[in-house]
Amino acid sequence: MMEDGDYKVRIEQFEGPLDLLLHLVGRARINIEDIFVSDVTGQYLEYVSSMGALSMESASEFLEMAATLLYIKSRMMLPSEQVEEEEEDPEQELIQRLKTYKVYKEAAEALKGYEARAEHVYFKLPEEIGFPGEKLLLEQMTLDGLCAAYLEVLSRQPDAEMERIEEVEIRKDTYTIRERARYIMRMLNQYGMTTFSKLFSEARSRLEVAVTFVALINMLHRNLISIQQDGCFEEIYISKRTEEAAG
Amino acid sequence: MNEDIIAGALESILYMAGDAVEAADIATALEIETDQLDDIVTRMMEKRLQERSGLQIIKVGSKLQMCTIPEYAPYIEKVLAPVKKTRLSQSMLETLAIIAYKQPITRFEIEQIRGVKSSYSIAALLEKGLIQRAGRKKTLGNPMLYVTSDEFLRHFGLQSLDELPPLNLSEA
Repeated sequence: MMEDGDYKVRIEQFEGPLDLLLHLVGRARINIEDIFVSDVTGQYLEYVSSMGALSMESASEFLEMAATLLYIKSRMMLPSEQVEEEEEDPEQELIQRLKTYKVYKEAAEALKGYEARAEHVYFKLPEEIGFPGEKLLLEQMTLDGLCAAYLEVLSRQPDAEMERIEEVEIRKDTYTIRERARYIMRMLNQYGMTTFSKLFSEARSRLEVAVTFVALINMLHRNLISIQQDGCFEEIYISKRTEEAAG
Repeated sequence: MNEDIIAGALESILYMAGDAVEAADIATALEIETDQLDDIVTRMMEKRLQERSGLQIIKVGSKLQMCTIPEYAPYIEKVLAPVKKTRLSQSMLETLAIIAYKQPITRFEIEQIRGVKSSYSIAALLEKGLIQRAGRKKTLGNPMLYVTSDEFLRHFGLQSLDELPPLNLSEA
């Protein structure tokens, strides 16, 4: 039956039994309706029986169709009255399935053309839009204003750089809290009491002021001294704490 | 806002987004009706075509997107060598065609038409983003329903499902 020399299709070429049947119908140049009055079903059976190793799944699909075709063939051999008793008509059902499948197979073919055409259109990748959530608003701010502010800072500390270098080189570690505390104690032992302004009047650098101040606070915290001030911006008096007062 | 400004704003939005943008969102931002935006897009496209512009604005369902014009593809490919889009296999194409025309549809219904198991094709189409799940059918077993996606429209160069090639139902 497969007398065509060039008829060497492989089962893998087909999407399934319906596809193979359609192929055979097309090759026989008949309409789908005439499938059962042609040799197509016979060709199908022959084809399936000759097919080599297939996966279980696709083999079962082809075999199921073979069974359907054999069933239809056997029915056709029965007297017609008996056939009409049955409600379902497997012939017409299969013909309908083939027609429906053909419609979508053709649609898929048409889509293939669309696909080939659309292939040449390029899209930009979606942008990760980097708008910041919060913006720093610099209102009423001009470059001139920024420059003026910077110049003002500079004018306030004309020799800051020089001073700092001196201190680092010469006076670093000159002032320690312990040494300043001893100095304050010496003052108090000598004069009984001293004042805040006097304590700092002899200071030679900011560092000395700062360390002396920390020492003062430290002594106050340890209940070694007491301070007294009569009012805002008045002189602050520093005196040694007596034993009684401390108790 | 005059039409030129709307056109300019639209272009800048689509350029920046890269992805497809809902036409309705753009219309709202530009304070015009969606129909009006539609007309403007049509006129813009005519103008771009005349001017031999390299970019076009396409509709992807209810969205708008900017992309290149096919005839310039050879030049893009010479300079940038973009990764070639892979075409779909026969079984994927068939499965997709059935989903496209009969959506929403279940796997069982697809297999009824094709006569073969289609779970592999469906999984592959889902992975490519060409189809998506659309809830479950209220029937025995509540099977999953599938529909095509915006990516499907883009892949086939369709503006909407109305542009699908008509089915040849004369024989069916």
